[in-house]
Amino acid sequence: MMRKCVSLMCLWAVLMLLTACNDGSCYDNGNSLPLMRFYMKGSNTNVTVSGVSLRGVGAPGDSVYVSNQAISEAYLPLRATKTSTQWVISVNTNVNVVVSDTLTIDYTSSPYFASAECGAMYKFNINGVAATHNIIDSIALVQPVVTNVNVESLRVYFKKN
Amino acid sequence: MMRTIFRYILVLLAAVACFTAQAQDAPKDSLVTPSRPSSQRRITPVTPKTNVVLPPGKDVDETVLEQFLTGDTLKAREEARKDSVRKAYTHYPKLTESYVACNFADLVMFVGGQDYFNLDFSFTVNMWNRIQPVAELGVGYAHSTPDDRNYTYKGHFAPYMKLGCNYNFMFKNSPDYQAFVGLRLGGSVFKYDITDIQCNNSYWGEETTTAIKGEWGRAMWGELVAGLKVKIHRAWALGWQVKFHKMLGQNHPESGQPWFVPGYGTRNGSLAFAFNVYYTFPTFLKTPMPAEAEKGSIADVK
Repeated sequence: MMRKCVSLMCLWAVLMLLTACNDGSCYDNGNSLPLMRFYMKGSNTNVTVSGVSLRGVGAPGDSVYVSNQAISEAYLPLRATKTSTQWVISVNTNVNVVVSDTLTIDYTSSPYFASAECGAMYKFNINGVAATHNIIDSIALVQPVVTNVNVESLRVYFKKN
Repeated sequence: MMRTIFRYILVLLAAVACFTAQAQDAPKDSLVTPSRPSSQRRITPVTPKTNVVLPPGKDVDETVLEQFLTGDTLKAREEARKDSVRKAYTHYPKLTESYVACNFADLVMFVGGQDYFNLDFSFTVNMWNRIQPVAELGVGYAHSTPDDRNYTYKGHFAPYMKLGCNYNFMFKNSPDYQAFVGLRLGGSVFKYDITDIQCNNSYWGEETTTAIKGEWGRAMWGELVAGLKVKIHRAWALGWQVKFHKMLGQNHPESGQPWFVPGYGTRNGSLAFAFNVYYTFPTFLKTPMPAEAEKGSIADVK
């Protein structure tokens, strides 16, 4: 009888330990960031554009977010304290001419609890997107709700050279 | 001289006559086994066992006896077998016993540092020591401020309820020792706050603090339970349960899914454990049903 009880208690303890196995890792993003991908006009194939620079309008010290790199996508942090954020997208062309466009994103923000592992953050609901058209042909809003899930939100279609 | 020759001839004729007579009397198989003498042959009378009705033993049911008398032996033997099986283990009455249980495993873990707990009381009716309808009522609470995270989660005290049924595999034994599996359907409505949410945006140089307050959650889930119950002393028993649960339905607040659901536990776990203390009510305890007592029921074994 006593041996049975001890065996059962040991079994219970082992099972309790098994349930405690949780690595506590966050497998999504730690923040809500809209993912922007680049496309060429008339195509839905993601392309890599070389010589791209990204800069937020009003960023402290006019800091550059991406500087003259070949990229096919970028996460654009939005300002939680504002309802609109502007980004300048510059492309250094083959003839060393920099062409820039300004991307304006309008949104509303609200606090959002993602999970115990990823924590809490702001969630953005994009109401509208606009851009100048020097090198950008058009903008498509794919997913207006921006959380920490890794999902494409914006598509930027460049003009063909 | 002639007389002597005649005597030899007579002896020779007698010997030939004897040999001829012996050869005619011998069986045919003696040629195959000539060494076996005919004097060792035995004839054993065989009595066929078929069509013999064995008499019923003592204390045999009258129905069985009648079937013997009418010659229906197959049916009689089947009845006798069933009767012996009935006597091999106890048949418990419909209301074998009822008991309450308190699951305090989470409370112990909470004292030990866990960020939440569920404390529940269940009422179980043991029917035929086999089927056991269960009703559980409890409260859940959570308070967590993870070290490396940017929030404080507080789940207010909230009630939950579970309804279900167990099946006791050890129904042939005493109800003091049980091994069972069961199903539960649980539900809860609860309120929670997530405060001190600190968001740092390094590029824009912004640091904000916000909160989600007074959010309501509703959830319904199913549980598969496997457990043991062991008598400790008199009407007191201890029990362990392993629970595999799955969310069946819940509301989807704009601010995200709650981390803790009372009665279910945390959202990221599908396994839970319970440690129960049982108290068996004396109402039905060891009260044999009259009809069952005749079959060698609960009174015979206890």
